[in-house]
Amino acid sequence: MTWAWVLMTKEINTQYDQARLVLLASYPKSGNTWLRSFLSALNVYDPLAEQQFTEQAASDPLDDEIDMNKIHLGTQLFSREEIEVHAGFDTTDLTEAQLAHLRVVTNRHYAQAIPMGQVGYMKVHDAYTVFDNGACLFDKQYVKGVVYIVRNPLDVVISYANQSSFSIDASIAHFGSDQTLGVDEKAYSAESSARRWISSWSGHVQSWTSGHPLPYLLVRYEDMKKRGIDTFMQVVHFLNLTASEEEVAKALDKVAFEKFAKQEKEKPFVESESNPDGFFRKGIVGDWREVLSSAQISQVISDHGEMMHQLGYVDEYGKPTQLIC
Amino acid sequence: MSNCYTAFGLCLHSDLELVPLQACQDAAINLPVIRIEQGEVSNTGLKNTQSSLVYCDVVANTVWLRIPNVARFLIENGDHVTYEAERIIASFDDEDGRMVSNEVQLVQIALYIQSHCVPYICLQRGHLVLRGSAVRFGEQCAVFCGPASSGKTTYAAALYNRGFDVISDEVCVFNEHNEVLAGYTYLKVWHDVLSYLRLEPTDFSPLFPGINKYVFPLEAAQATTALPVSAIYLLYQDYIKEWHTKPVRGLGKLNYLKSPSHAYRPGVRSKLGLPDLIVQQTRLMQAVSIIKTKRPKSIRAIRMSQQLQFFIDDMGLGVDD
Repeated sequence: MTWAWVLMTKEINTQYDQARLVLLASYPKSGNTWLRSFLSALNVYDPLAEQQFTEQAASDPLDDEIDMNKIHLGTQLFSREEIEVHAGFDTTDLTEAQLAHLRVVTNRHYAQAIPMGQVGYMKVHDAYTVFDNGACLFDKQYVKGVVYIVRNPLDVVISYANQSSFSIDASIAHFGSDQTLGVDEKAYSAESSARRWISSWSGHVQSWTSGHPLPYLLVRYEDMKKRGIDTFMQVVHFLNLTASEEEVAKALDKVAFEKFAKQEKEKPFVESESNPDGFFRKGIVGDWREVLSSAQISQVISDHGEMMHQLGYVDEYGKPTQLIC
Repeated sequence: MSNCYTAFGLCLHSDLELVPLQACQDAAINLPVIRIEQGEVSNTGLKNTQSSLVYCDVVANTVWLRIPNVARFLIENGDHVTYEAERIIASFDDEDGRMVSNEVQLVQIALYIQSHCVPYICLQRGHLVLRGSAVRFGEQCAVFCGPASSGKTTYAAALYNRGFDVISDEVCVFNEHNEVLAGYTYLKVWHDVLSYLRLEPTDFSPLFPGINKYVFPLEAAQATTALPVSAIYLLYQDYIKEWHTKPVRGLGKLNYLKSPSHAYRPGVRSKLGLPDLIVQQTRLMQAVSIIKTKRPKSIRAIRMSQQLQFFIDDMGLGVDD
């Protein structure tokens, strides 16, 4: 069967003057670091993140790769330390729920700190979340747009199990549950961070691809791998960046998976805390065919078949499509 | 009815019980009196300010602080704190759907008075204040300095367990002689830390229901205790596998003492209209050794006994550069 991919996108937000924040959103282990690295390699300027990396920029035009630990773009804002920078008080005597809700305010404050006429970026693993009182974790008043990356859950469960030290079965159970609190439960530390609202894999995808008011571009990890230049050019156009196909190709070469994997053998990647085997594992499409058992494949498709079908990962009968082979 | 407490060389008279502090029985202590009272506090902040923070404003020698869903505070002139409880709204319920109770809210107000308002009072009174915990070694003390979650309290609790007195936790207030003043008589420790120290959490009282944090009582130091500092250990975490240390030398020491990770709210202090502390900071810099320490982020990777022994040996040698 030939599956026709329909790009899901809405125009970037020009309605609000204060909309200066771009969210780079994804379920964990779905290519978010790759996208941030790519934008860094294009030398896209992030005014707030840049302040944290004053030693040197990640990408020197003369280098043929960038330092994986100096990706100067896309702050994550969920650690206590980062929240406190904006709130102005220590949060260690708040309940977890109070702290989590404080993120609504600090996200807005972060976005408002982006200078007029510039664009800031934030890495996000939360689902699009609206609280009981109507407050949004990310508000349309300040969000310029969202690049949402989705990856075949059959591959994500393997990568996530490796990253979190879960078994694959535990990872599948985690992805299937309709939890509203952090999928990163095992790595989560109340001492140092707020919880994130991750939801199930299907819930996460649904939250970012329907029923919210934010302009967004949906990008599949598999397209990033197989049709790299075309797919990343879509990102460039969506973000109103200026880059030729040649420049995109050069940037992609700088952030090739193999280069980061090689770097990680020499020094740890800052986001690979709980994983002694490293963050950059294989990065390939279709590894599930080699790793998952029939029962595990069936379970993932049973849990997420409807959403996988909408994204072209399985056909109407629940059979994997060529896209993910 | 007023409750009386002592900390940082001050006598705190509060109409709210400042749990988990133990009230002072001897009312005749000759210390400056700080009044802490319930009253009306603006919910929008102070006028004519351009604060870069969401919930903190400063004008002249007045600090306005709001902790959403807990309380608003007005800290004035180094001798007065007014607090007003916030109305609890339903969206701030916990994960089981329970709202924060009034009882919890009162404990949180008491905690924020101690952890924020009193240090601001000390700033307003011209004290040098660092984000640190002080532990006594003989007739001197070491200060473990760093931002929230850097491990200050963990080291204090671990050393207390080994028989060393804790002089102050979370903040260190210095007198004009650069001595650390005795602070509160408890630590607030996370469940993880108790487990790591092989202590049974059921032996400790939770700070309040709904938080995984416990009150770790300390043997009370004399309210007038003030100890000179021999060493300041700057606490850093990183994605590394081994703990290591590095002495800081020369003028670099001063930069560390002034940085927001180590000084208490320097951004707020700079707006209080107070004299600069450069002379006192320079004297402190010259009198102490300052050592950067970097530990793995994961508590599971920490070899605590090796680190504690380093501190004990280092303090015993009294090395000064």
